[in-house]
Amino acid sequence: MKAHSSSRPTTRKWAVGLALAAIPLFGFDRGCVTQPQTDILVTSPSVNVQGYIGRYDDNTLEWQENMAGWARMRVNGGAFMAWDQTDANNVWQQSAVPLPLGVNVLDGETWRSTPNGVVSGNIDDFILERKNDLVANGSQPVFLDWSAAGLDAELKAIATGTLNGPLTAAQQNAFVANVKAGVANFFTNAYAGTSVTLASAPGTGVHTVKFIVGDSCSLFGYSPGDYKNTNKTQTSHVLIGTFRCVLVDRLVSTTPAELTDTLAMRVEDVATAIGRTTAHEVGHSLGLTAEGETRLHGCGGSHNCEAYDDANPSDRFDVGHHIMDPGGSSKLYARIGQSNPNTRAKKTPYFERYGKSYLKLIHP
Amino acid sequence: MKTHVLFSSILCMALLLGAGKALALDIPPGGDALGHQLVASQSSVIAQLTSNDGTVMGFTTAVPLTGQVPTQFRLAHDTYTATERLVPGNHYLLFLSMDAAGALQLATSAYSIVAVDLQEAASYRTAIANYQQTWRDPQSFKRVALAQLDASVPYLRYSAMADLAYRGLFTADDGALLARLAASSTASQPEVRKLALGQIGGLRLVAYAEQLGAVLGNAAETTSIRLAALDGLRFMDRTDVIQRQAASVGDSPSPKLKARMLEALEPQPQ
Ligand SMILES: [Zn+2]
Repeated sequence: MKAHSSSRPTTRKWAVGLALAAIPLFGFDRGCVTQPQTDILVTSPSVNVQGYIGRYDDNTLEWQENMAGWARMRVNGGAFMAWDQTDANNVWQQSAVPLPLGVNVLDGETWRSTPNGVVSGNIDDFILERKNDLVANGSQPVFLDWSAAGLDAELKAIATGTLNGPLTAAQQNAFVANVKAGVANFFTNAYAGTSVTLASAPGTGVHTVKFIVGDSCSLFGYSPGDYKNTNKTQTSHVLIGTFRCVLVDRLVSTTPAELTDTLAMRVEDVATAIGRTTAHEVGHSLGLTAEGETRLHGCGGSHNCEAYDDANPSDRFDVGHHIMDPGGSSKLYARIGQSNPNTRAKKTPYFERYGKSYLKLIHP
Repeated sequence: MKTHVLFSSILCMALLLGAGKALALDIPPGGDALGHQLVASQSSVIAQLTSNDGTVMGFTTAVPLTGQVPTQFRLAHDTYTATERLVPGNHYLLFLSMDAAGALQLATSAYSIVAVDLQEAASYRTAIANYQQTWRDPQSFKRVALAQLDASVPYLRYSAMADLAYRGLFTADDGALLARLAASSTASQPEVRKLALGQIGGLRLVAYAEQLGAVLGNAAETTSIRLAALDGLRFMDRTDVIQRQAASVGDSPSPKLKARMLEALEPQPQ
């Protein structure tokens, strides 16, 4: 077997071909992890890690094909495990990779033989965090309470204030109904894969999201932070008046939305923004993103932490595309489900893998 | 009569102590900047922290700025202020409101506390007066905010940048200014730089694409700054510049930077 140095192989060949695009290369290899998901919480003391050895195009960085070869991994910079040869489906597996409690950074390397010599590749750093304080906590029904006075008028004001119109009374009523339905739909999709589901009535054991008009333009919502969801009968608030203020003032000037958009486009923009905040507030009441190294590494008031991503191989914060990103740095275009401020390209807000893995552990 | 009512309410404010809460708050984009904080608060003050037992903070007013504030007052900690490193003897700019029971509270929890130097009081007073006079008139506001981008106080520089950016007040004419703010220098704060990088992209100021490319390719920059440069290039559709930085991004230990890079290089659906 080829002798490998134990030092970290350079990641440079990940993309060095780009700088030398005129020279025909055979691409570069990357070890890809397919099982389990990376950057998640786990509870077991060891995991089987599976993946491929991908050959990538130097120019486009696009995956070309999976190759036969060998792979090995290590945990927290310790000793590498034994090389594993890929199977008939080009899958390698490192069995029973031990995971100490806490944040673990895994990485690895791959190699394969070619007529031109050995091609080696990297398995980039990724996090598997093992926790032992999370237990399945049944289901969490959530009731969306739109009963407060004045909400429909605020929603209509968003439609009339951000579209050329004029809008008939029937169109405005349809807008209100469709936004409310869209909020419920967004919520259900955001929590897919968990037992956090909508309920048709409030009650004991039911979390209530109370939509209110509010009296400031400075708060989209608030919710009790409740790590591990110790209390299922709580109330979150979402302030529709703030959405009216902010959207009428800034939707057209700072997002791809236009005054000439269709009513249906605006329904989706507004339902996404309000739905995201609804999912966000419920997320707080379930414990996202609790601060502290023994909790969920949140910061800035229990939110996904950009500074954590600067210091770790993680992907928790994404300018508002991730549902638990902090309000102050969640861009309006991201809140309405767009990928950029200039031209429409859909990017629906979602719980990133780490947050979703927490939800799946406490409410499977 | 009015004075009497006001006075008694000040007394109440001084005596009543709100209950410490554990509420997570969600503010709008740039909601921690001066513009939103003034809208969210009924009063603002520079006050000296006199006591802090982890549950309650005691303050003595040093410089009242807006609204009515008692000379001495106490604020209950909430989950988020409790984790802030607040040092007795130091001065803080506080944005205050009243809770339903009439007790004084921070308008938006930890977002409403800014550590200050008492010598900065005049700068805050001027900035707040400028904001109050111009906030409702975007073009007038833009003039004072542009001047405030060069303030000596970091929070005022950040506020001017955030309020201009999130209100959509920058135009293509501001390219040179944005390029200066996006550049790395000792005076520039990361939050200001990120906003400037995004604005350059959002306004499609392609003349500065190479500057953004250099930031994206600079391994000495933080992942978040490099991502802001990547976003800026993405907003102006300069995939060619992004692609030229692929080698340096490949060297980065951040899976997030690599994932966003691949996403940016994917052909966009029409
Ligand atoms: Zn929040």
